[in-house]
Amino acid sequence: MKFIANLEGVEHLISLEPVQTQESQYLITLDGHDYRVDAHSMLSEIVTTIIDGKSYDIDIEKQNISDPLDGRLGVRVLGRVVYLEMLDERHKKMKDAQAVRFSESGLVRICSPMPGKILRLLVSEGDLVTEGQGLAVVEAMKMENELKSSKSGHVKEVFKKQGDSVDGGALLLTIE
Amino acid sequence: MSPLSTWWRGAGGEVLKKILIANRGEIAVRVMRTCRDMGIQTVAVFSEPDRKALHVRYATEAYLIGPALASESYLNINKIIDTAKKSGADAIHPGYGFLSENAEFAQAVLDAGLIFIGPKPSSIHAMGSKTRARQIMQTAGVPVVPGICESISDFHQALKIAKEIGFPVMLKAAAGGGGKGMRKVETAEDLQSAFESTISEAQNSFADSAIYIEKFLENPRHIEVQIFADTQGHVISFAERECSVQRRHQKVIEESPSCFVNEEMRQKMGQVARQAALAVDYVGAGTIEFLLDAHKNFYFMEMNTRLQVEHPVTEMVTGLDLVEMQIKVARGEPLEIREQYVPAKGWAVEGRLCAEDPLQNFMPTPGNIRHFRQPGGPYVRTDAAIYTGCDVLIDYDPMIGKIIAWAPTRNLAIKRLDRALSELTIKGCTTNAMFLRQILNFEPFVSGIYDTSLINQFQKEPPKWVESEHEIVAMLGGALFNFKREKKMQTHVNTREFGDRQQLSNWQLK
Repeated sequence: MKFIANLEGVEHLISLEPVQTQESQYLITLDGHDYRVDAHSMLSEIVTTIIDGKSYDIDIEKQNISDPLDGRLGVRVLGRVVYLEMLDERHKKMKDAQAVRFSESGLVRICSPMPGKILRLLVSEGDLVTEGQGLAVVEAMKMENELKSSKSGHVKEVFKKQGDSVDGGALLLTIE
Repeated sequence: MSPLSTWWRGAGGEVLKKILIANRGEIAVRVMRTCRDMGIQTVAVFSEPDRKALHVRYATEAYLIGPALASESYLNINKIIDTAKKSGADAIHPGYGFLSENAEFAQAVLDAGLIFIGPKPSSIHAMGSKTRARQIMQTAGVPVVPGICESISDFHQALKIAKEIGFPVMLKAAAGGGGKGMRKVETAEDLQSAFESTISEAQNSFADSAIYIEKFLENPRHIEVQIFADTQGHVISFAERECSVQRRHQKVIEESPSCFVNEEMRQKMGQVARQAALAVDYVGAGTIEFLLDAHKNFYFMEMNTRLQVEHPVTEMVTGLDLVEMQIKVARGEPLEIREQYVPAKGWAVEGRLCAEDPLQNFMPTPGNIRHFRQPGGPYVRTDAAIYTGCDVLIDYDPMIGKIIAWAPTRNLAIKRLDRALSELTIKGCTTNAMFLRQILNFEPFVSGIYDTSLINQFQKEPPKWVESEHEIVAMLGGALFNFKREKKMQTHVNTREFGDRQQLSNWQLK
């Protein structure tokens, strides 16, 4: 199986093949280097690995489970977290195609980054907003967090109202 | 002020067999642990969403007191006192936060014929207003930050005073605290608008528009002294705690003792702290917070009339249990320590673990904890209220626990805490654990030469933390994860239609 990783703007190619004769053994090629890996999952997201004789506990957090085209991962290795994006070949192609469609339509979705309550909606449908302008204030754990617009444009549609409780990732409004 | 004889009901009788803890989270569990050590029964109170919280599971008895909103549950004085009476508790421990520094609550506890594990209501009241506290301290000969000790409402008078003490100055709400309700003013031109907005902010936040002026200290150190007093008038002080690692006036890492304090200052600060406690007729555990300038002058900032979040570092360097001491003092027993000053043995460092994401401007990260592995090994202590399967709620403070390490030297204690944090594994909720480790490894912190600007300094130029070894292994791990996930997904689709994805994660697919 082939994957494309994006780490701080640099793409890396990875291919992974299970070694058929030995359970839990994998041959992984990263940027042309071969690694022999013995891997066992402890939980769905903690993998104990021995990579060419060195033991690593790898702890993986998928940032967004619900979107198959969101490949962002937080990976903890030796207690340090590396943030990267990784998709398999098929999903990467789908994502690239979608990105083209999106830039053509010019629609930006503003989602709540966390579960919480909408304390204030600062804009309404049809408003002209500029990049960096505050759109809504979401409260969680006694802290107020202002969501800012990632682009300039018109507020196309508002999906939530003041006082609503929202899940993490919930679509609040779109900007065109 | 209630006379001691009626305030203290501990004499002779069978008291303190059952304590109600009017709090939640790690501090409620921490207090209950000592109660268990002492064979005392515990009563938990909880809000609706807290039914499965650890403090409820850990207590001998537990009672629902209201909805999530703190004002209707953990701040509901009548409900809490009713629960104490109904459950047959003979004392209430307030923990920190919530009602812990509310004189009205302490008085209501006493009026109900119960013991309040804390100081007298009059001491809480005396320290509750910053201007009043400054007056009392100044009268007692304790140095305060230069400025005024009365509230001020006339702008022209304020300008005159600000010019006298010299800009920059701080405008502070008299009823403020915890880093809220204050504003720095650089020049005379800025004073008027700052003056008006501080007054309105004080009114809005604390329902009290009184403000006062003091000198602004540039990048001070924040160092505090734990004190303890018994009902016989004996007051002792402990080696200082260094709390200068702060973000937005909130403490992040604390240590005891402090590199900045020499033996002469240590004796002086201890003496001043004991004097402050005596000035308000103090009983129980309290903390005098000082601001120190670069010339090692120290000034009284405020007194916290309760147990502090960071009390474990003091426990680690003294071998004492401060909650046990609180309970014994509340029972009317004299302090067992006869010396005025308790020195530190070795060094202790604490990191506050918070459900927040340092990479997204410390945004809160409530959620369900799917996996929790607690660090271990010698001289490592974890005070937390989380477990695998528990929910970190959006309704309350993001601090979910504390990790504390002790060692004979400061260097080893820092390394040990760093190691402990590297073992800590929490799945389902992002925490600041890595941020804590980065600070522990940040050169100015390691050197011990730092002040309250440390975190700003760190954020301006965070040192490189991830090396190529981490990156390579992370990519290999990411590929393994995605491969296994894809395989599992296929099996799921094949075997059970598309329905139950619980095994993949606790998140709902939309």
